[in-house]
Amino acid sequence: MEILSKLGIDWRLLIAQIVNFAILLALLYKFAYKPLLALLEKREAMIAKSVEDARAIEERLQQTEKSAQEVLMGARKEAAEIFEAAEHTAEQRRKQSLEKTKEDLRQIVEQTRMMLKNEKEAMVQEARAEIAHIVVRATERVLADVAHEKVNDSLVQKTLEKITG
Amino acid sequence: MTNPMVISIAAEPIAHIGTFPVTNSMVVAWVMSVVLIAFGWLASRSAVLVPRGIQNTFEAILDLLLKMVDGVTKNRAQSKKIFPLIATIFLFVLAVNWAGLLPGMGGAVGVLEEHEGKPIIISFIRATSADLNFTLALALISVVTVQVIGIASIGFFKYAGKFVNFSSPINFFVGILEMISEVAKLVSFSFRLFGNIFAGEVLLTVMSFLVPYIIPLPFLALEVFVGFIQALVFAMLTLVFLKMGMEEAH
Repeated sequence: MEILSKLGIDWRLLIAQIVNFAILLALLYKFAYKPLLALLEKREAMIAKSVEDARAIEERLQQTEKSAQEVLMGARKEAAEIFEAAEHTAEQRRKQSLEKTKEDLRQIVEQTRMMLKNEKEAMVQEARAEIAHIVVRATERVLADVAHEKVNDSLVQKTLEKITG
Repeated sequence: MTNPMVISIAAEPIAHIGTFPVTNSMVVAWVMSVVLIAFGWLASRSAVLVPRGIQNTFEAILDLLLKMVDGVTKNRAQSKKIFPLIATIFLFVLAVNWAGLLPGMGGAVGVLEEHEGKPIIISFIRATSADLNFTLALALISVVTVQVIGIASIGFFKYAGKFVNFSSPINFFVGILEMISEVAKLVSFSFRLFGNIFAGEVLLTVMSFLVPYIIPLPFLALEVFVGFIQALVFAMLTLVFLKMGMEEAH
């Protein structure tokens, strides 16, 4: 034990140091560690929560963007379909109307032709009658001098038919 | 003329309360305790979620220490249990180590006393850790806490089985070695801290005596570093021993 006292070890001082340290530990724990560690943990939890929140928001944003993209794609596709259908319909309609117009035109042409033909025939008929009449008169006049009047219409008629065939 | 070159291994009493010797290292311990408590109290007095000033400083230190403890225990629940001891050891040892470097150490300012017929100055300031009473006290606290936490964590008989084991001659011998190592921890803890800081004080005293200006400065800076390292080593070793005590024997 003499070596201990030579090194300056005194049990009273030793115990005093232990007590001193214990008091320091207790007071620091009460006044500093406990409140500050609680605060540190609270802050840590808060930061973790905000990071988590940020991640969730980011995720939601991505989802929204994705769904918007999907909607946009769908709309674009639909629009393309509608456009194509409209084009198709328009084409059909155009064809139909063209067809109809052609048909109409043909009918008109046909009608016109018929009309012209009828008219021509009527005109020819009329002209023939007129010419026959004129010829009969002329022949009567001519023949009145040279022959008797008994040249009748039926003879002229027959002659004319022979000529025109 | 006084002779400042009296180097005493034991801390010198500067006053007596009854028969209780109030040594200079004891005074430094008290003063630094009060300083630390005041600092901690000021830091947490109006603690807010967004820290400022002194709260920020103290929190940063505690946060670093907590990270260190977490790094060893890998378990927040365990960390919280032993953190107060580790942090107090580190802060207090650091405080008293650095307090011993304040101007006035080494017999510059103190009480005049007779020593073997010659008048000498007993400094008011002596690093508390340059006093074996303190380092041994801290080593006892550390080693005893290791035992207590060990028993609390894995049970008395399991823990005792580490030291007293009759399962085989080899294990019995290992148990004895474990016991010796606990005592060796006490000695190494106390003498490492004491030796480093006391040597630093002696070195600075001698340097200042030989060349009072400029030359002691690098040594002063070195001692600031040594004071920090020794505080860290003491806290770190206690931490590791505590962690080992909490684990079951392999």
